[in-house]
Amino acid sequence: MGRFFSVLLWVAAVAVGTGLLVNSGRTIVGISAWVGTMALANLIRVPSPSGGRISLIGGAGLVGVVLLDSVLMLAGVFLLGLALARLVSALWQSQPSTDSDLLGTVAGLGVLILVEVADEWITGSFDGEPQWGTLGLVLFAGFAWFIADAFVRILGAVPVGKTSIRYVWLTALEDWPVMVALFASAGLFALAEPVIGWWALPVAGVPYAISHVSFTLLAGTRRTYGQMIRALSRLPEVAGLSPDGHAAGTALLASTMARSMGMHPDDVTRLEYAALLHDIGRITVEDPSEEPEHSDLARWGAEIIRQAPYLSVVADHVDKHDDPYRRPGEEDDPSIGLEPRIIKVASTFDRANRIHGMDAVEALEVLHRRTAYDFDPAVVAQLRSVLRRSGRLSA
Amino acid sequence: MSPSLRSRLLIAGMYGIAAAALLAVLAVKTTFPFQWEWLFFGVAFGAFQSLAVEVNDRLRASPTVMIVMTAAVIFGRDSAAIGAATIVIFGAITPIDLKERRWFQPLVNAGQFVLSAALAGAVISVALPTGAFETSDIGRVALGSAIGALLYGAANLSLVTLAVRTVFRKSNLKPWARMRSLVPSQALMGSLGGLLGATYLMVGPVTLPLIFTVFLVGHLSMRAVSQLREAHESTLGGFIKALEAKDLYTRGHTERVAYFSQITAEEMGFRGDALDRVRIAALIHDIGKLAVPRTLIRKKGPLSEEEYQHMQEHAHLVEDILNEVEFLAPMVEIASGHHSRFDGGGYGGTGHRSGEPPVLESRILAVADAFDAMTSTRSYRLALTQEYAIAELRRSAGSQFDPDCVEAFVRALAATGERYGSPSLDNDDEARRGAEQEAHIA
Repeated sequence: MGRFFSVLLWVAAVAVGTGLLVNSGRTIVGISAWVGTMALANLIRVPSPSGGRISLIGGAGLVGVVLLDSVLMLAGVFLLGLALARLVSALWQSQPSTDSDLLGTVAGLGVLILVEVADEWITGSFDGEPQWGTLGLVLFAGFAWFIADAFVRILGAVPVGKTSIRYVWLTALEDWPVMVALFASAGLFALAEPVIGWWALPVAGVPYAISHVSFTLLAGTRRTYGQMIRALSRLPEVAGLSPDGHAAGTALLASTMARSMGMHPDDVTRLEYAALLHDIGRITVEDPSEEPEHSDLARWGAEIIRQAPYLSVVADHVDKHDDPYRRPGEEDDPSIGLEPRIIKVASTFDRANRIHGMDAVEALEVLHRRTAYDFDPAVVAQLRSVLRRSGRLSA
Repeated sequence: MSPSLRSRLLIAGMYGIAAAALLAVLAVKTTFPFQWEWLFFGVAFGAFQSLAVEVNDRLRASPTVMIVMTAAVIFGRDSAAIGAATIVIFGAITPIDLKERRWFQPLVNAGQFVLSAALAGAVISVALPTGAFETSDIGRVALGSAIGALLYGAANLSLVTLAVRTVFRKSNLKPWARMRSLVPSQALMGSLGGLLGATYLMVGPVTLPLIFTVFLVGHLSMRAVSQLREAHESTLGGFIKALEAKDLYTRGHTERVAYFSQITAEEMGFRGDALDRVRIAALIHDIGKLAVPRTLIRKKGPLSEEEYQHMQEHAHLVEDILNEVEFLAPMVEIASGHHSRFDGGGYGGTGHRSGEPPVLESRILAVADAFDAMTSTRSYRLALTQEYAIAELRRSAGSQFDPDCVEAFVRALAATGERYGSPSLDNDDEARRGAEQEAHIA
């Protein structure tokens, strides 16, 4: 059923695209070059800071806005380019674009059509010096595409309901460097091509390529850094000083809670690292048969982590993760941030579950009983709603 | 006056006078570019200079050479040399220089920047047309900018090397090996700079914000890569250091082995990522121990068969975990192979190839590890002299150690002029007895 509709959708896209181009007055070769460029741009994807992959079609579309004669032509080559890219990825069995990708791209096309209409209006209003107006349009188009893309991501995430809208929004905003590099390069090409011809390709393409390489390197380096923290977090488990899978289990629970609370993506990453490493202090334990004080373990762990300057915030979280969230006679201890509170709740729940074999309700009860000092009731409530949504706790 | 101060004054004076004389000649013979672009490119040069990123000794991302080339093209034939030579002065003083009130670095920087940029600007002025800029001039200007950028890089590197050699007396610098690896990026950035200058001249100032935006974003992202790569190493190193600190006898061992491996690998021609691999492999060469109960590691006297097996199992488990980290996998093999002998015998870890020598990096690491083990005090033996350790390495060269690695290490160590180990203890038996006595007293 889904497949049938998908094929129908693409046939319709091709039909509409072709229809729009019939009376364009351009040669077949010219149109094919534009369609090929759009398709290629949609197939090339750059790893973005938020962990996704962004296609370059927005940039190619922007070049179309400036260099093509009409809105109809822009929409025509855009749709045919998308269809061609879909066909190529289906033939090569590469990752097909998802529905939300398509939705985002079509929303982007809408933005570009609006810009094209505005272009016709603004170009007419700037006498003699139309280029500054074009620059303004380039900036506006990039910004509008970026915001439209973020909204589409929110629309995609809302039905799933696992993360907060704020988190999805902040994650989408993380991708600004890629968007800026893409639209600035596309704008440069569009402005330079009519004057210097094909020289515009290296002029805009090489700086973009340098950015593309650095985004790819950054994504790869971030991934391997995460892998390394994960590997180091397993040292106490391999040494038999902590139950197998406890670090990963705590981190998963903690980061899910943080996302559903709408925490900033960078803070979520740091919290995840802290949750992974919260038991690292156990490696310094001399005699495995003796259980040291938990607060000592937290301090030793923080000492180890603090050796890496990049992880100083993570070290602070680990340092405080075993402290009570309030002191006697006070309502709250403001020196204990939200992250250590989350780690404490997630770790205790995971231990109760993993070592003592308690089910979710029993483990949650353990936490509830100690909400006077140890566990922040607000965080425990958050855990309960996360467990409900994931189906581990019946509603 | 101390010899160091005298050599500083000599270099700073030489560079300063040469640069000032050149600027005076250019001021008389050519036209200074009195235009707002001069200020803009000067500030941009200064900003990017302070943001320079060095991912490793091979990958250095600094678009400053591009800025010089773009500016030189925009200034035009008559002003390219003096324009380029003056905007670079904005990059001579860094915030650290101001904070630490340094006079030598800014002066030398200003001198070498001016001389190098004037050279590059002179090349550009030859490539630029006498009349209006046409599309047909673009190719020639791009080529001229590439050549100009290469000369800029070569002049820069030579002048810096001369200054460092004279003032810091470092004779083991190999700048030209470095230059070779920088040629492609230097030429690319240079010609791109020329192309951007040409685009500016033909299309107009409207392109400027776009050009700089793309570069700034790419550069900031490269900076993040460089910081994160550093974080990889500092995290691994930090963890190991913190754990070593708990054990009196191995304190600093990993850092020293990483250092010895690095200087040996450099001596043997390793550069860039290959060099990083050796250093990081050295950092993790003992990481398996982190997961072994401390009672076993600190045990005095030989381990029982069962204890030895137990220790190996833990070390293998850690190897398996680290193997899952993409960037560490090749280094785990190197680290694991360092237990193997050059003649193919020895311990059977991931990097062990029975009957065959382990990979070159493992052989380097084996020499570094053995040297540090002999020249530092352990629970079972006091530190021995550097001469004893080197003689021991040479004695086992060909069987346990790779003779080439041993000799490369000896050369590299001699070039540093550093000394390790005991000043006089050169008898292994005595060293072991000494350790026993110390343990007895304790």
